[in-house]
Amino acid sequence: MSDDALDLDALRDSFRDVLGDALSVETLLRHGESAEPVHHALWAQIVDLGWPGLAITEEHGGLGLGFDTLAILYEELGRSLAPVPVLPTMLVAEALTLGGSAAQQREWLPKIASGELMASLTPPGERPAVIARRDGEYLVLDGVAEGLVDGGAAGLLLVAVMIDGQALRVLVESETVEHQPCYDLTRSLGRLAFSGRQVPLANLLVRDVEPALIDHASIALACEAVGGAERILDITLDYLKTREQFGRVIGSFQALKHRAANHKTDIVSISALTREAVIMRARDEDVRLEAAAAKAYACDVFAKLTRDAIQLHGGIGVTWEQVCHLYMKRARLNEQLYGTTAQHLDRLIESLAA
Amino acid sequence: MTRPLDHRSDETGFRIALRDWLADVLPADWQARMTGASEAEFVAFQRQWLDAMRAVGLDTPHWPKAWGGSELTLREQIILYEELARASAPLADLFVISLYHLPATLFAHGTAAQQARYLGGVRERGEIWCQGFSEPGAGSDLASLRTKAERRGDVYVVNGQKIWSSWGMFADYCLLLARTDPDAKKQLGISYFILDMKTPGITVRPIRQISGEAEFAEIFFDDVEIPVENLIGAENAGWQIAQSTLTAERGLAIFDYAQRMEARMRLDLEAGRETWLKDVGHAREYARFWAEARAVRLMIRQMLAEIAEDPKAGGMVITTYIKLRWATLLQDYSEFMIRMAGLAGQIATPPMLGGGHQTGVAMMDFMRNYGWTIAGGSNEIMRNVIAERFLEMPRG
Repeated sequence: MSDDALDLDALRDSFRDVLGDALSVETLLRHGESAEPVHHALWAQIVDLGWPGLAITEEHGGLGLGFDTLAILYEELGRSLAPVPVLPTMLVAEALTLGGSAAQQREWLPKIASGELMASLTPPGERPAVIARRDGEYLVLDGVAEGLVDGGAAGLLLVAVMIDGQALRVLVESETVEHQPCYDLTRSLGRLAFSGRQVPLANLLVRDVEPALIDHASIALACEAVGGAERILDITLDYLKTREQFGRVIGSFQALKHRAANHKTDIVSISALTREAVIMRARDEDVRLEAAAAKAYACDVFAKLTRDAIQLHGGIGVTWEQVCHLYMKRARLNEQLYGTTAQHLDRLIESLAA
Repeated sequence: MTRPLDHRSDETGFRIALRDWLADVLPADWQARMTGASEAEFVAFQRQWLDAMRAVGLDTPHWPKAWGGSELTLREQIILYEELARASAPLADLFVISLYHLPATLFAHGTAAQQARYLGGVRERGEIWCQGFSEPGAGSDLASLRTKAERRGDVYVVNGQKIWSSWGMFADYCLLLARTDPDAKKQLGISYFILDMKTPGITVRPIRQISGEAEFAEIFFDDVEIPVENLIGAENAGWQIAQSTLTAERGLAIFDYAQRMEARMRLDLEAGRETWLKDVGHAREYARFWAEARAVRLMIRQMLAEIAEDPKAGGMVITTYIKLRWATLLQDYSEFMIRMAGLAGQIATPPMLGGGHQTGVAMMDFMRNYGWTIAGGSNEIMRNVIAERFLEMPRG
């Protein structure tokens, strides 16, 4: 095994240790019942450990590690359902790195790397719902920015805007994003209505980052699906191996074994595809096909598995205190987030048939 | 003639050499010739194709050098299978047991003499092997097999019946499991033999299948004598050894097929452009199959990487997942293509022999695919193995 692989394994262990210790079911439930868009204590811990800076260049105060490192973090965050805005913040960081002006990078990336700033964005690949017009040194924004993941905590938004029929991205410092609690108790959405809001013209990104954001978001959610699916299957297996009915452990019934075996096989399959997408992206290869395929396939498997996990738990599975519903809700949100399954399959077929 | 293996040093060169070689040796009309072909024509063409591959060392790309194989790297094997698939080259169907199951068994458990004689026989003479595992009363419960082998002096005397032996009608040799200790626990009384199919007392009968073809055979044994030196491993150790054979079936053999599927799906996409692909629902279904097929190919690469790292124990777990995933995917996909073919796809056409399970004739492919979902451990057995051995769920 190479040193790199060893390093990544060690990193995974360290992520898992921290997240596993910090997040019990009770913690997640308590957080979900609070009005907070993110778990601030956990975020503070993550900041102490330097995780927000993992993939940001050293020049801007980060560690300059690759996408493969970040992917492991996504998997572990998905596994633990951590209520922290790592994903939207990292998407904005990547957009700045790839498409920001030198001044924008200097201003924002160090703040993201240090953890001082959380960020969010309107979902990549969608037609902008915000219209911008030029007015001297400013842009004037009208319309509603929606789908801002954990936007309630974000100090910086990357909003897709339509200017003269062209879709561009503009940075908006935010203070009043409306927090929209979701069924998912560990991830929320945000919404911000603009009515003649002035933003400096210099806040426009200078290069198109949309394809990169779509790939990044797709693969990240596939990683979350892999981590989450593995965890909820483990939890379900523990239950099947201990719950007794008819005088025997229910996990000894073949009908249940075969369902568990199918779920495990699906996980092995989505892991293989997701891992390849991660490796390809880390190598800067064209990953459009694999990113779309991984998002569609992995999120679908995760959603179906969490549906069945509740069923396999029986009555206890539909109680608030049991963890099943938290995974089911995350899986359902992720299935719709950053492009639905159908949209990603459409992207895939479009590339395949091109 | 081009020898592709002379160009291994450079990937593109290897690929081009493979294409040149295929253009030289592959009869352009082979699919037409094999459509509705007689058994004799099929066997002759299979032999011709194996000989062509053998002449340039491409019959045994996955065998180690020590056994006369070409020992291609993973990357080289991928290129080879991609190019075979791209050229729609025939599958060496008749030689699957010879090329995969036999070496998987003998590499780990055969004596030096057995390895030299029988691996050499495949390499030098293209000997055909079949598998004598299943019996009418021992399918999924293989360990309950009853075909008996009794030691009498220098020979074992075999009586009983085997079933589902692919190409048993044409086989030179058989990998045979038989009971040598009727009193031991069922897994512990089985031995593994090399059987010469020309031995007196053997009767082979083909079995006609739902596709109308006869790939499988029944084999009857009436006082068939096997010399003791044809025992593989120790007496009564056959069950363990059989796991090596089955691992080959569950993993390595799927590699070539999975590359074929990629090529098949591309052809199907082209053919569907003006018809079913215009329907968004069908297009999405297809896209999902593409994702699953890509995932299976990646699982196979993971297995090969594990084997490269640890030739003895590597890949043992993932092969089971590969077998189950591959079998269900293949069946689901051919069923999808039946729906895409519509009524026209229900008009019977003569079978194309040697085209494997992905000839593009959806109904035929679908019927042949049961060979994956039932043979070599049915889907249900795979699920039991995954649940009980890997997920450690309690036995019922």
